[in-house]
Amino acid sequence: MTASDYTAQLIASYKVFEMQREEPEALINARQRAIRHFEQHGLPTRKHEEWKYTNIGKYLKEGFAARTQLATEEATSADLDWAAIPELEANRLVFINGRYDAGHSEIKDAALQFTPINEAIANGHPAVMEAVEKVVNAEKDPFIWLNEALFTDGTVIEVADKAELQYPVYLIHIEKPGEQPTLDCIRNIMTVGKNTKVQVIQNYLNGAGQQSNLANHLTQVAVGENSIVEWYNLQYHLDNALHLSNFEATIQRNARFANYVFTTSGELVRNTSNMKLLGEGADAHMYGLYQFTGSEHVDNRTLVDHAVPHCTSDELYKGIMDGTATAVFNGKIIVRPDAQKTNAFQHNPNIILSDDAAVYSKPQLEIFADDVKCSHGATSGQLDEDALFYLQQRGLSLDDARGLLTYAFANEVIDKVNVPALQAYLQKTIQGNLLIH
Amino acid sequence: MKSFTKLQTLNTEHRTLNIEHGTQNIKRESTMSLLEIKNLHAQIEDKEILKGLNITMNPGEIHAIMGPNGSGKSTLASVIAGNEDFEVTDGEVTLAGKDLLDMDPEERAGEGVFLAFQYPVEIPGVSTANFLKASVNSVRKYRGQEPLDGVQMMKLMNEKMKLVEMNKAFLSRSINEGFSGGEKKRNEIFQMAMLEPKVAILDETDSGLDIDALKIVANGVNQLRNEDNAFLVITHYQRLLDYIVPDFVHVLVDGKIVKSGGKELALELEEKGYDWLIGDTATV
Repeated sequence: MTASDYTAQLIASYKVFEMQREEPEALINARQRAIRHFEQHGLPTRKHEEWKYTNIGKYLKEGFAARTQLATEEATSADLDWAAIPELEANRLVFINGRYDAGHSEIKDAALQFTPINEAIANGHPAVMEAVEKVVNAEKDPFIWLNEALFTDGTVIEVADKAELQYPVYLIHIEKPGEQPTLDCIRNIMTVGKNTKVQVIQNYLNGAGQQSNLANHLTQVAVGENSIVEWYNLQYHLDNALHLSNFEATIQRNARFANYVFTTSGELVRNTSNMKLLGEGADAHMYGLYQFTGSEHVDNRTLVDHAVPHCTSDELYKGIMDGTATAVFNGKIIVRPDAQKTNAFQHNPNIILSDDAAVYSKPQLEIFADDVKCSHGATSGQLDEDALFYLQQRGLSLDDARGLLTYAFANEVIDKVNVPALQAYLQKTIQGNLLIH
Repeated sequence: MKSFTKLQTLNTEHRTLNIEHGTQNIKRESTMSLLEIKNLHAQIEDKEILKGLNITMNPGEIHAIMGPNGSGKSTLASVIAGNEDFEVTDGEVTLAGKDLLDMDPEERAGEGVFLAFQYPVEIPGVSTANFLKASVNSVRKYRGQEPLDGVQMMKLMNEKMKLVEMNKAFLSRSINEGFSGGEKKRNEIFQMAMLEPKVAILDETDSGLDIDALKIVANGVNQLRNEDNAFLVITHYQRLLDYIVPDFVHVLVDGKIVKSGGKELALELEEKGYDWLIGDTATV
């Protein structure tokens, strides 16, 4: 199927979808606006700068039909086993193709307010309409428009001012194809009030089976004043999966937001993170670790927008590339004219272990203020020969020495994880850990 | 033929020296030498650095190698430890009779070769404690010993850290990351203590050390010294040898030992420099 055929197919699906839904007028308008944008711009090709190294057309030839009905697939225990993180105590919320699975979920903290998005829409929940309005003015990514037009399911999570959550929130998103693989557009909205703290782990999994759906997530997080939000994305079981994820966070005065992405699997994974620092003293952190041994393709894109003075952002994405895997990193920092005294740092080091693995890294700084501290950099190289010899001299075999250096390289990111059970899980899954754990 | 003659001369000189060395000479008669380097030639990228080097070290001995910059001191250390950047083109190196040159670096470590690096590598992301667990248990495995468990390892670390006056905070820091020059060198000696080598090579361990750190390092080495091990101390300056007193001093010039003597030779070198010896080679 060609890209223009597929575009036409998606627009036709939207019309079917629209007829079936009974939704507030404002949402209908937003969806119509979005599909019009999509129709105007179509699917991207490699000629689009943003898609130069991710040839999305190649993955869409199957013509994934857009899901227009609520998902009916069920999770199996095997699916859930994959999501198990030993010793993690959490508020667990399970979703199958975006549909909330109450039977496998467990909410422990009363202070956590959770509503499946369709329920929220039916109740005229203000957070949904706010989120929908916000995205219309955001980045022009056709998959954001598609999500806006076609999202069938998802969540609204609220954490009130001064709420005290005892446990992290663990969101498990399982994709399971039915008879035919589908395009699943899933919307997650989270609003965090003032003076509170919440940790979220979002685990994306591809269910058992050869085929994969095309998952198109849009997550929007609003962080209130003085609050701390840590958001951990796990992409460890996305074998054969096509996974597109857009993530947007707004960060208010003196709030701290940290986004983490750990990826070891996926035929195609594209993570776009968009952070807006809106209040003085806001602090954004973005950490990523991708490690591949096969033919995976990951495309990480980050945008930090410093709109006001006295904000900080810190970004570290590290890659360990083997096999024929490809990684793309595009990190952009914008410092607007008012954003004096900004501190913004970005670094993307990569280790390339094979001749056929590739990394395309593009750090970008756009600075319009004159009193700022900003730096960026990207490197790629092999394991340090001197360090390998040093370790061998201390008795480690060459394989063990390579493993330890790989582990060390990865651990700089894992060290920044503040959920102990998750940190231990990540350390155990990194190659080269065997000597130590 | 000319170089062959030269070698013969040097070997004779070495032998004479050993005979003069009273008590140790008696031990020599009955024990196999520990480290034996014969006619060692090594090159890097077609440039010959070691040009026929001979040293015999017996258990309990400390040998110092001195020499001007570029004479091949660090190359010698790297070649013994098995750094593959250097190609050995001739000669042999044996440890207690076993051919080292055929072994991988980790096998040499298992056999008991330890190199205290001139520039210890910084490895962010792995704590010193975790690294030492991996190191000690790898070496123990090679030696056919049971691995140490966490409690045993910690006990051993606590004991050995005292030798170089390190505190526990070191253990949780990444390997050498952000360490001062002195801390790095103390960490090398600490690792040496953990691994209990038969032959330890100290490659310019004194470089970058203030006097306090130098004394701590030397004190650590002196405590580790025993009748069964040997030390090869590579240094540019005599000052380290005030604290680690060598049995023999060898002068390395242009890839060969041009003179050997007792500890007093170091003092002579300190006073006169190396020029008189460089001249010497030219005329031999």
